[in-house]
Amino acid sequence: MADDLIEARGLTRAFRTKTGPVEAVKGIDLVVTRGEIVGLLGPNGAGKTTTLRMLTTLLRPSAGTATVAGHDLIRQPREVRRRIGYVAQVGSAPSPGTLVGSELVTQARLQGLSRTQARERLAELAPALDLGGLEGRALLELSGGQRRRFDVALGLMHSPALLFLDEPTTGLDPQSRANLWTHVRALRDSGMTIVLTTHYLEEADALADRVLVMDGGQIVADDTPDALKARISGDVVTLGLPEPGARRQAEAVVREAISVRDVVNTDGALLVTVDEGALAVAPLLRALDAAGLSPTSITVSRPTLDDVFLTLTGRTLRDEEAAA
Amino acid sequence: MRTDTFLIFQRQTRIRLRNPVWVFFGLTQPILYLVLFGPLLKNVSGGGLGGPNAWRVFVPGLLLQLAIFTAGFSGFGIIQELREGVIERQRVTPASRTSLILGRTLSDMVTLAVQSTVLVLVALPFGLRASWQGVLSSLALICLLALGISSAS
Repeated sequence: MADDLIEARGLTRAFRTKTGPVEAVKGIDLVVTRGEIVGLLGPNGAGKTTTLRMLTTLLRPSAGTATVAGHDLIRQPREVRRRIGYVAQVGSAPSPGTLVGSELVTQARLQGLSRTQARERLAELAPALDLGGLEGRALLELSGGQRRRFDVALGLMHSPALLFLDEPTTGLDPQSRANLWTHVRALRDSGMTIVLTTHYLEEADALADRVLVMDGGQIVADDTPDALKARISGDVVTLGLPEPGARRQAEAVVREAISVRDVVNTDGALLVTVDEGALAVAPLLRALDAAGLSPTSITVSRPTLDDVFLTLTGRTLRDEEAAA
Repeated sequence: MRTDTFLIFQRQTRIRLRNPVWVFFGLTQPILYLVLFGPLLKNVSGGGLGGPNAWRVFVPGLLLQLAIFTAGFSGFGIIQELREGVIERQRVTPASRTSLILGRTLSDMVTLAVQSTVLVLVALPFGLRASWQGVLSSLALICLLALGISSAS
């Protein structure tokens, strides 16, 4: 299909280790259509980076086939490389003597641009990524956020149709991260297709149109962030009611007034799980008011992707990080 | 492939030249060898080594040592670049793999050629007497050797 930029079938990669072969990626199927931002979400070791490295021709798949940007990954790697941009995970400190501008031009020329084209592209791309005026700066003198934007610029010099971002915001402070997100969204608005990996749930939630949850080398879920969250559990409306008698009375009123999935009576509060939190609040309050009950506080919370991940894999991302 | 090789060569050489410490040591090291170890040879005698003949053995020896070390260590440069992610990002371009390595080794080779020339020139006032053809052909041989060693490392 012309509109599928990535089409992978049974993509597998095994590594040989001292303790025997390890299958890092176990036969995943993947379709990415033009204009999408797809987030690969999973803990360390889930196979995200391996998948990305296979799709960018850096690693040969042990099994399976894939078409990337209209060309076969294994038979026409050069054609694939011409059409994709890849931004790797953060590397170590750069060598002294490397300059922003000349590195970008060299990269563009390796991608096949002429010297003039490369210069023009630099003049157009640097301001777009807030790197204007930094062309003569040594890489060593860049801040973390600037360095990361420079990395993104490297992947964009040849205006690829498809961009791979491997953990783009790992190690950045919240401001720089939000700033990079803005740039990624701007890229999407310009019609670029983006595949990014992350182990930040907020990031997948904020950027991706579609989230693929990976765990243990397999894709365990594939849906929009909202659909994933809705599938797992509804919204929770928390009603602050300090008196036990009032809580019992309220529970009955709530069940009467709206359709609920679940009501939990906890210490000092009533947790009401409903499909749509925002729609439930008004009737809930009217019913409580009519019964002469006034809660001390009301909060509506949507489930986070953290909850989603927990339900899908039986553990949270934090557990995984703590264990690693 | 020629363009790609040249691009890599250009990049590596530019980075090297922009590093003043490296340029300074790269050029002074051969001179220091000559100045520090050269005088010791005057007292060596026998086997045709004494006097001005000593330079004819010592200078080629230094050249070889320089070649083996400089070229042998170029592999370490590549390790650093692997860590930085430079190699990886060059590998996702359509540039051929051969030109990625050839550009680097050529850059190392030119560096060595410059060092060797400095060494030979400085050795002249010390009393090195050699034919021009001899000097040129030995420089060419040294470069070839360096190209081989640095590709292997």
